[in-house]
Amino acid sequence: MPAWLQTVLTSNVTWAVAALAVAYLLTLGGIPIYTWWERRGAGLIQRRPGPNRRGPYGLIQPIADAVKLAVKEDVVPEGAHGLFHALAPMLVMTVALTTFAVIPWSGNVSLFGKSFRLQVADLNFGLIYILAISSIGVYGVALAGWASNNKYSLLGGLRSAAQMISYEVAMGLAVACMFLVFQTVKLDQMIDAQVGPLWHWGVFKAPLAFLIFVAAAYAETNRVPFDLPEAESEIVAGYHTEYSSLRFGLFYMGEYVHMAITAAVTVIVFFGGWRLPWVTTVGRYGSLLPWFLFLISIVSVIVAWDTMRPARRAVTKGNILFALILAATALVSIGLGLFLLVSHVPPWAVSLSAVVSQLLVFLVKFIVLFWMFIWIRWTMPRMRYDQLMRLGWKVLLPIGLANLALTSVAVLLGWI
Amino acid sequence: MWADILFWVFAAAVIVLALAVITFKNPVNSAMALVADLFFVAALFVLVDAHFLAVIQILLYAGAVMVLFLFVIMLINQGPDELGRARRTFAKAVALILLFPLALVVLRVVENVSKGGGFLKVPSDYGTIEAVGRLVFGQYLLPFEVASVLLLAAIIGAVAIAKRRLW
Repeated sequence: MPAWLQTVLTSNVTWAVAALAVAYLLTLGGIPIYTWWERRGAGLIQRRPGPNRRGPYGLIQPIADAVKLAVKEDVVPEGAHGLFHALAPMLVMTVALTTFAVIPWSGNVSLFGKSFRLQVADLNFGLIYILAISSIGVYGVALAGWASNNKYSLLGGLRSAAQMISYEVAMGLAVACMFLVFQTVKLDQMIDAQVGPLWHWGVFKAPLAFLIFVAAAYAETNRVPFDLPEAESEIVAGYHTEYSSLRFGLFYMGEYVHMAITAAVTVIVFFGGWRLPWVTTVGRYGSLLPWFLFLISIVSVIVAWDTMRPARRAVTKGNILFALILAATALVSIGLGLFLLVSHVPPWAVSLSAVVSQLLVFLVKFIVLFWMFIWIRWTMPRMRYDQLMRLGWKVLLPIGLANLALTSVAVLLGWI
Repeated sequence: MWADILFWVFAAAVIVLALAVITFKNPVNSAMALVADLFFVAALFVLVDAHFLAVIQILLYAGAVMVLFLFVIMLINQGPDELGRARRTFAKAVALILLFPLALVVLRVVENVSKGGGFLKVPSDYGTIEAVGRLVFGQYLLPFEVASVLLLAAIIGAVAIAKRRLW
């Protein structure tokens, strides 16, 4: 291997850039996919096609949506507070993006005697950082409501502020419980504590904390069944009634980024992060990569075949191109997988393969949890406001406190 | 070097924003200036390695306490008529007099630092969660518990006053 490649691979900058790239792919790069996915998921649940005209499976639709949003008129209502009206959507988006800095996308691997991990910032209060930063997001929504000079917006902003404060308490209790179980607040150490058999995952060690966390996290993302701040049947569109064009777009995108960070944190705290159950060593993860590649190729072939089925949709040039790209992906993955399987791989390549397969494991879990957001949104009815407050203060808070006490006893006695 | 530059930037921001808090006429502006101010104070905490304090500052003060402030301000939503009325020259005079002892303390600290007395020398890990936890639940356990009982009493008192009609 050439010396320059070794220098590049063992430089901290390369790893930081790679971690940033993953974070950007899952946030800004992921938003078009998420919006498309949500609409297709809605279609699936409501037994209708969803967007399916532009591009294969309607995949070009998000681009059209983005262009539509960008060229719309940017209206600032009369009597609005100019600065806060502009600042609010930016705040929502910035806060959601900033939290991704501490997510570890892979475990430690050693390359030429040095140890690396796909993580932008390794803070010694990892999960608390995420809680702290995302608690700032409420200002975006509350200020948007106040600055719009509209009664409906104000009601939405007030609802959001009250809701966030209420559910942050429950979420804090659930997270404190996980701190006790794992004896750490750092995300990478939490993943390390979930090594080994399946029942070492946080969700099996503290199932009640998981339920509280998920309920609180859904409330914090303002999604159904907790989307009272934008309940269209009561207060028009809530806090973003007076927003249009890309300012509205930032709220819209911020919601998806917020969902992404919630899904990522849930994966790490409750589902073992990038770890597979029973797989422990870096070498094992490396040797799993060919099989993951074969899986990818099988999935691509199935999707390509489905795209070209004349009975389901007209075979256009776009569909043919899409199928060809998928076929090429399948061929490349099979070739790469076979090559990795039969050839003698040097240790550095094993380390790199391990990082890639850990990332893939993380992504699969992430996709499942993200789908849960969409699934629940199109399945559950919206709560009434008093029900929401009752759930937060009279159900989740007592259960959370009892759970914390029980967990601390269990941890002290060594049961967990 | 960088820490020094950042210190002056953050310190200047803290002072400017603190002045903004008391000079803005619109209470929402003041509240948001205070939020930003708390952020820069947290940044100052980070510069002296008090990481846990910094993150708790953001989580509790900026993320929870100030949200409630903003909530109440937005709920009352006073117009310019009510806000423009108050002059309160007497209150301002009292505030200036009360400010005097605080200014003396600040001057003493500045004097001490400029003489080379400097800040306390502490190990670099004194700001971690573990170190803070050991202090709070070890050496300072009694004050910590007394403070929490006091807070509980305040909460119960607030509920009792607010919900008097329920009895």
